[in-house]
Amino acid sequence: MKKLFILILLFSLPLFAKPANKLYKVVVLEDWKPYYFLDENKKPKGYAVELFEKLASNIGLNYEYVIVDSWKEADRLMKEKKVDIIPNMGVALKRTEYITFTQPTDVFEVELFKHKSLTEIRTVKDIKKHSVGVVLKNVCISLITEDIAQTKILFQNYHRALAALNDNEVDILCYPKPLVNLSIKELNLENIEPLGEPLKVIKRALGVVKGEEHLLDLMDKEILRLKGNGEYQRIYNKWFGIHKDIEMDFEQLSLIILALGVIVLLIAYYIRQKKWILTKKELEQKVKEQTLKIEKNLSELKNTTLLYEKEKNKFKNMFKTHGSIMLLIEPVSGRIIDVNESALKFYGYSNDEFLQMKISQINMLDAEEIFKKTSRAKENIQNRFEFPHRLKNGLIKTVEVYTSPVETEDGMVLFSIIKDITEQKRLQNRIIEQKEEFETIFNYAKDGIAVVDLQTNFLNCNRAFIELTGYSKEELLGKSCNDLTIISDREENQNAIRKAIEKGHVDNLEKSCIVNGRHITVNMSISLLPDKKTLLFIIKDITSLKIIQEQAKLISMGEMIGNIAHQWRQPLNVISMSASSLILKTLKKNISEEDIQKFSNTIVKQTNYLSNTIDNFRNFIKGDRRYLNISIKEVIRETLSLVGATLESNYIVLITDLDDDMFITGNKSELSQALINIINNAKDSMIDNEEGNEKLLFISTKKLDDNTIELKIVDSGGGIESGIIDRIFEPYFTTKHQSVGTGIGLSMVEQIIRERHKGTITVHNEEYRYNNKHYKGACFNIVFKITGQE
Amino acid sequence: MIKKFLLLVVFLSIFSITGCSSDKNKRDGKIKIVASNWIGFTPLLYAYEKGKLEALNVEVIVTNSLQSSLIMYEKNNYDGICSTQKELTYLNQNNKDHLPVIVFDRSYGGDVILSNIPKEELYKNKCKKVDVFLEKNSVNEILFEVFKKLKNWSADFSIIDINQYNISRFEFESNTKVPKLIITYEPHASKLKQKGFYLIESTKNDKFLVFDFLSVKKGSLKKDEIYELQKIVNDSILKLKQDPKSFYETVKIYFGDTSYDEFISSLDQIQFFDRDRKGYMIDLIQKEKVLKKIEYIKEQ
Repeated sequence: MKKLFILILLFSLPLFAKPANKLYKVVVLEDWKPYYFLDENKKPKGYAVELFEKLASNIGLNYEYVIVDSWKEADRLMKEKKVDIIPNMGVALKRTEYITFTQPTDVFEVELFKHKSLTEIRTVKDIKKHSVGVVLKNVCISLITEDIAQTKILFQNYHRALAALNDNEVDILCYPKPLVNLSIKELNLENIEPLGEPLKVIKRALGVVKGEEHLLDLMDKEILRLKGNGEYQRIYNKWFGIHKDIEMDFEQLSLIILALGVIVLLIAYYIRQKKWILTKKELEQKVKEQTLKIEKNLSELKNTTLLYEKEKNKFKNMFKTHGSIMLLIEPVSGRIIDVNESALKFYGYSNDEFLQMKISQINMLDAEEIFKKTSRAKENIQNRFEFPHRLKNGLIKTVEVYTSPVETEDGMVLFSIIKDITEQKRLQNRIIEQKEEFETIFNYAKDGIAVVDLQTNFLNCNRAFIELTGYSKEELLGKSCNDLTIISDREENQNAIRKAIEKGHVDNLEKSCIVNGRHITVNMSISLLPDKKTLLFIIKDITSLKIIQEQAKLISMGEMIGNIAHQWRQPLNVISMSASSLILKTLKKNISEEDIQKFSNTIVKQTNYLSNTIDNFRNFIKGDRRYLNISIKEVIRETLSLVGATLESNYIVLITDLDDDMFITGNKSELSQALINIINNAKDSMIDNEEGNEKLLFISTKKLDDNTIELKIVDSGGGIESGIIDRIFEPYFTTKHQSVGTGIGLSMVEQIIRERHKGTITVHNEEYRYNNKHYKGACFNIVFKITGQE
Repeated sequence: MIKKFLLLVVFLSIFSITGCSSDKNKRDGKIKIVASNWIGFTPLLYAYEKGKLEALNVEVIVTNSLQSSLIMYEKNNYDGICSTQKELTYLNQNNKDHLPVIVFDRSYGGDVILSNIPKEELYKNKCKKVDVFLEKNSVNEILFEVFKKLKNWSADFSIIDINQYNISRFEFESNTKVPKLIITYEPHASKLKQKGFYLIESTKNDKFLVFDFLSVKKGSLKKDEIYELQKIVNDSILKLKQDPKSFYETVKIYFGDTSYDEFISSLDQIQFFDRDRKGYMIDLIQKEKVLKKIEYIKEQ
């Protein structure tokens, strides 16, 4: 029981405790209505003062006021402990270093107020380009940054700022809400309305300096008590609610009531005179009509609203579900404010993740570059961009972005439609690479290449073509093919072009041109390109090859003369012997008519043989250029008539097996030239080979199938060395001494067979037995395709 | 009683008629001058704070930037504006008859041209493509135009309009090889220099002239009122020279957190139009054709 008494006593002590008899200095502001102000006797008044005085009186606090003109000064005095108490102050973290606050006595919101005429302003976001009034030394100075509004007006005092807003000198005013609300009510300022979006909420409380915290307990309890018994509310309402002291003498009041009564009577009389007062029936009818009208209007309004909502939803759905990737971006901060489902799918982020992101987190360009591009889009200078965008999984995609500024309820935003062009870009790059590759090939090819239109005007050509023709590119592009062709060849040229247009291509055209006064020979092919509008000319300068070919032909002719000499020796001997016998028998006078007939026949026969030989020789030298249907067997026979004697004189045994014959499209002279070349090579190799074996030359033909025939030439010269056998068809390749061979022979043979007769030629070494003897030699296989029969 | 009633009716009628019409700007008959809180205009703010303009019935509306001043001036049809020659030229182009009546100061290094490339290299190469960051329709454009003309530089200048408030917050890439010109003023210039940008030109060069003036609409102030206003401003400039601390204490409410030291150091970026510099500055204004009408300025 004793313990309980002590406990109750201990708990009750604070209730009886009174602050020491100290005179506390209480700082108040001289003009910060309705919290603080000075009345006509320079005595502090206001909400904060009245509440404090009530509280101080209840707890028996001795105090005196220190009056200051600014919050900064009040703050300084508290900080320097030159005063002890401030009745009401904003609770800020930095102040808690030197002030201890009671529980909040009230809170106020710092609010934006706008002029009513500015209907386009709905939220804080809308005020950026509007003028905002702030009052010097007020918290709003720091709250209104240029991010919120660019035009800030600094007013010396609240009343001037309020008047400026009321007169629409400024569009917006930033100031504590309770104070402006009070002004609106008291001054009936109908032009001003709050934006309804507080910029900041500030708790306010009574503060004591450090070292006087013992007062807090008493003050907190007293504040609670005042709040509990309604006293606090009464004081608050007094300063912040509607409060008007109307003091008017009775006579004045009577006068006003009387005046109003007379005015009402006058108006009623006037209206009655004008028959504006309706009968009850008329009134009912009027009300009914008006009700119907209102109902109709309401119905229309409802329909319009529904339509609006429907349209809004339609566009929202279109945005959300559209197959294209779409983003809405806040242009200043770059914040992503909305995305559609395609964007979620493409980038891999969730909707919530997107709404926390800025475009710079997706766009891989540096911030400055993005800013520049965004500015261009914002001002509609440029709307199409290509950007590298990063997906959530780290992949970088090349995207094509179409961005336009769009006005919305929340201000201007950038609306972007995005297309993934990564693959397209890759293909484009590949095409560019290929184009560059082809251009390189085109320009660096050793053969001249030109593109002409169907009227043979040059459209493009490469360097080799320029070098070959001797014209500059500009000169060529103004010319036609015909301008480069000698007049006599023009018709042939036109025919070739016509053929190329009809058949698609023409190969192996040999043409003579005059370039810079020099005769050149070119081999040309013409192809119709797939667009069917252009022709591709490929030309090769074969002038030097031609010269060598001519040289080779001269050498062949030299050899041919040797052959003729051999060929003619025997018949000439026979003719000589026949003539000698005729002379001798005549001298002996024992010649008979039979003898004359016999010797004359022999001479005529031999002379015919010589004549045929000459014809063959002439045909070969003349080189008939025509490609006709020719017999392979006939070609071999004629060739052997030219070289047979030479073979014989060199003791070369010729073994032929020409049972199979076929017709091909070809040129006898060229084919003979090719065969002579092979036979001469065989002859030389057998002469060189001094092993003592017989010199054998096998020439045979054999049908491989219904369409092809094989011509085989085998010698016994020991074969071709394995190290060089693969190169013998290369131009200028020779195993012979310079005085003997030019190296053009077999390459020309290969060209004649492959290019001009569409045949194939191969060579290998062959070992074989003949008359029980072993031989080794080179074997040339030539395969022709049958083209017809005579 | 009847007399009183009739008086009341008359009074109510007059009240209802007059209550419907008001001239919002001439409501109190004041001469309204808009000025930004730029250091150059502080002599006017000082006079306003000290109540020296009351006799002339002049009120100063203080804004946070030149651009804001121009907006407010045009919106509210004020009587005068404190601005540079750029805004004055703009106003006169719009058929408004404005008279420059007071010169406050000349920018002396406060407005600058910076670049990510050192000056020598920039002038040597004279690249063909240059990014230019500036605030359009502002004093920045004066510097850029003079710069192009002086250096005889015809490149593909890509102009990027950027608010000066954003310019010092913006993350420029100072090390890129693409030349950039950034036209700005203090305190943004110092921040950009710290980020590695080089000073190319400034208003310390007599060719890059930026003056701060007070211009008024013709007829808004009488001649003797203009002279009186000039005297008040001149006195304020004198006060600043004689007792800068006291001057600062009076006007500091307009500067936010600017300390006294910062205030003093910012004075190095301008040259006030005082007795010592008057002749030299008027010569510059005439020589470089900064203003057409200088009859009042000559009397200041």
